[in-house]
Amino acid sequence: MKKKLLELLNDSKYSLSFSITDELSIAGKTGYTLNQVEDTALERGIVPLRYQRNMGAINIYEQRKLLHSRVGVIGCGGLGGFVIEELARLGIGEISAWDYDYFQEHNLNRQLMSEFRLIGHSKIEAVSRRVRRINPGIEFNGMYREFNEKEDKELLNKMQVIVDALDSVQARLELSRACRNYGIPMVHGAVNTWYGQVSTQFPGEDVIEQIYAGKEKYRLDERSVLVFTASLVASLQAAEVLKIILNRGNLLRQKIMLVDMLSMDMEIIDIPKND
Amino acid sequence: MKITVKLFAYLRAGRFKISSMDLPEDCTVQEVLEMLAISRKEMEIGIIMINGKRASFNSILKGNDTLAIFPPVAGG
Repeated sequence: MKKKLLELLNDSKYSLSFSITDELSIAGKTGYTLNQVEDTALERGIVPLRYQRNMGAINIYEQRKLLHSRVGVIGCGGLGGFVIEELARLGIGEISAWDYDYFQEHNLNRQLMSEFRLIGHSKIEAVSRRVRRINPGIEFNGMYREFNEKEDKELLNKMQVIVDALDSVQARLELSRACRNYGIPMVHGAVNTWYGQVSTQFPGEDVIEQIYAGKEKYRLDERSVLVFTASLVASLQAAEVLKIILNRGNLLRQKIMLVDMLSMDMEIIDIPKND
Repeated sequence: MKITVKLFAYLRAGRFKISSMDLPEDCTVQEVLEMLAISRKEMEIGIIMINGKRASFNSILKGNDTLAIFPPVAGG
């Protein structure tokens, strides 16, 4: 089977243009998944057309690394929707997402995946459909329930990065503990009105606890979030995920980036580890 | 004594981003929060820092200190 795949990929036209139609055709002929076809193609220096404009910012080895990567996104609301959209377009090979909620009309102001016709439908279902439409090469695991450290042991064991797109203090602290127990870096994001924050916490670090510990019951009356606050913070989170996987650039470790879209400023504050 | 106060996120609404305050000696963070009319609810503060180091409600301020106050932004 592999021999046939290699033979088919040997067609010199693919080095110029390797489209999704080509991939589907090869997958159909060989029985391999799109993910496997892409992996072999990238290994042989063939870049799928939909990743062509990633090249330059990242290289072909890095694109293949993304294909092999596994990222979890906890929450598919304002932040999670945009994060998943971006991870799918970047070409993260396996995305797992959790959300127990369904769309309501008041989500339409900011949640990328929400649509009129989807009101009353589960967010996970919408995200899953969207990912398939954007990037059919991706394996997507959607959990229509709350994230739970015990229940999600198996997925946690293979996760390389987890994105915090939650909306409660309690859940964030629990996620932080789970990530620490499983040795997974966690990319934190939170939003309110015009303001947002991003931070990356590796196992053994404590920014999440420093921000939220002891405030489990905290719930702000003001639950407003503007769409650009959500999309900006989600984009910053996606950039952190990419850099963690590729081991490149600078990360917001023991730091918090605070964004104020009203004053148009961004500030990075050091949060030294509490000994 | 003069200190610099920096507020973040929604604590800025109706207040300021950065401001100099004239305070009596031995003023605590708690007293500054009261002067700024930062409400009980908002006072469930995320992080308080003086000159870049972790501080608390009871920390005593000195002249030329920079006090930074971050609320626990938690929406998603």
